[in-house]
Amino acid sequence: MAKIETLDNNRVKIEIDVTAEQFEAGLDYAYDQIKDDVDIKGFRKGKVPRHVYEQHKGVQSLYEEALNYVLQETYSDVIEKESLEVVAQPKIDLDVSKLEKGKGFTYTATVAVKPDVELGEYKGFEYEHESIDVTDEEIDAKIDALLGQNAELVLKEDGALEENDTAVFDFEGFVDGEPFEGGKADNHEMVIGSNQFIPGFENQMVGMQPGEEREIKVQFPNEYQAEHLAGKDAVFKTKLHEIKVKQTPELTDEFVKELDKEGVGTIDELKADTKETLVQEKEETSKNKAIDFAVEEAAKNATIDIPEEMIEQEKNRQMDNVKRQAQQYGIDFDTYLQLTGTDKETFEKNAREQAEKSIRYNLTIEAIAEKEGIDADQAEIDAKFEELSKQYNMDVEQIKEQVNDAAVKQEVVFRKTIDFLVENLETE
Amino acid sequence: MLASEIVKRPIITEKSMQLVENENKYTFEVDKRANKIEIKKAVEALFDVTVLKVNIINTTPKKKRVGRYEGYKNELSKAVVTLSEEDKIEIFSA
Repeated sequence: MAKIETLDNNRVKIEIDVTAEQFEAGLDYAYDQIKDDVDIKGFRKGKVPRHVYEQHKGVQSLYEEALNYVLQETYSDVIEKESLEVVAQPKIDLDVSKLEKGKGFTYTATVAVKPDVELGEYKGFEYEHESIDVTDEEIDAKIDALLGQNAELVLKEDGALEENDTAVFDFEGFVDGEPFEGGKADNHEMVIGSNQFIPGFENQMVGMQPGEEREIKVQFPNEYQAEHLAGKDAVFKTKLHEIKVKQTPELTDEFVKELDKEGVGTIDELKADTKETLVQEKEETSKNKAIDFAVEEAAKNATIDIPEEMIEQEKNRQMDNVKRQAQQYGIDFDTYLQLTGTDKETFEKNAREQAEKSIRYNLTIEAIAEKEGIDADQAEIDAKFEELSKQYNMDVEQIKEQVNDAAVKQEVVFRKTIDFLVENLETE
Repeated sequence: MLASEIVKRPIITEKSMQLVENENKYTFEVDKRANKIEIKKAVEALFDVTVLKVNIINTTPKKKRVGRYEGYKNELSKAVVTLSEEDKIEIFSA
């Protein structure tokens, strides 16, 4: 049976007794796991009785697996019986040296439980929604950008290489008179001023004529990714083949037609369409800002004593996410830190802050939902499933297999609560 | 002969464990020279049990060759000892 003691910071210490029978069952389970690989003379594999195995290898060899099993069983039993809302992995305290076959034992588990939220004011914050008006300038800028995207590179008939031109050229780099790896390319295309190359390289090319050859002297930066080159002087032999310039198309009805957008055939229609998109974008950002504001204010006014373990766990989860993403791009975590210009400590500190914030937000929203009696009915849950199935392009049935109802329900309640908060902002 | 000289070691195999479980029979390797009566007395003395029956199996030695040397595996005798129902021998079971 279990004794429960409440500690500070929303943590609970549970003392759990394990009976001899439970321990024995654990040992049985543990032996079952390894049984097929036990090889003892006189027995076929998998046919060795447990007591024979224990005589040979000692019962201690089963402890680890058995404990895993027994602790898991008894612990979740207690959690269920006492209906504790655990929010982090438990810390188990157990004296292994006191274990003895055929006897029960006692261990303690210290776990963080979901903290109580003491809500403060969460309605009626004064807030001014961001304007969603779209000006003509914004529309023009958007259309200009569109024209820019559709610009074509055309050969520059005459003139020298200038900023923003695209150079097509060969190059070969030498350090101390020796060519080095990766320092050579033919027909390389580069926009002058894009700073793709070593600082100074692009500037020195300005003014070249097609067909011209030029030697460019640069120094590799001290912090260059290829260490053996860092800080070294280098000479690049370059030969310019072609100069290309961007030519943006004129805004005409023909151009609009070529875009092949549905219902958009003239300049005016394009403008109207652009306006609509802009309004939608602005509505979206404005709404998001209102949400951020409402949730943040509500969370600020709530008093929550978040257990350290809960933050730690969330932090680790977030960091794992980042690491996994970095891996997907084929870079390791250290490189990622370098690229983003942080070190491990700052990153961890930020992650921790983030974790605390998101926990605080979530708990606040949950508490508000409970207090306001915001709930989701089956129809709403079904609608959410419908939405998910569209989003992931899967059948509703498939989604239902992978996502459980409770999670979706929580999500729906969450959204509704946020909407509720935004509706209850005091706007002018 | 001493009891510990007659009974050399328990034989613990799948088959012998089955005999223990199902028929309360315990298998030992015993000295070749011992007879059933001596074995019975030795087992009773060593394990403090009542022996009902003793069966002896003599194994034929197998020919073994290591390089150019020829020889035999040890010749041994096994004794299957039946105990009275209430008796048990610890080393065979947990």
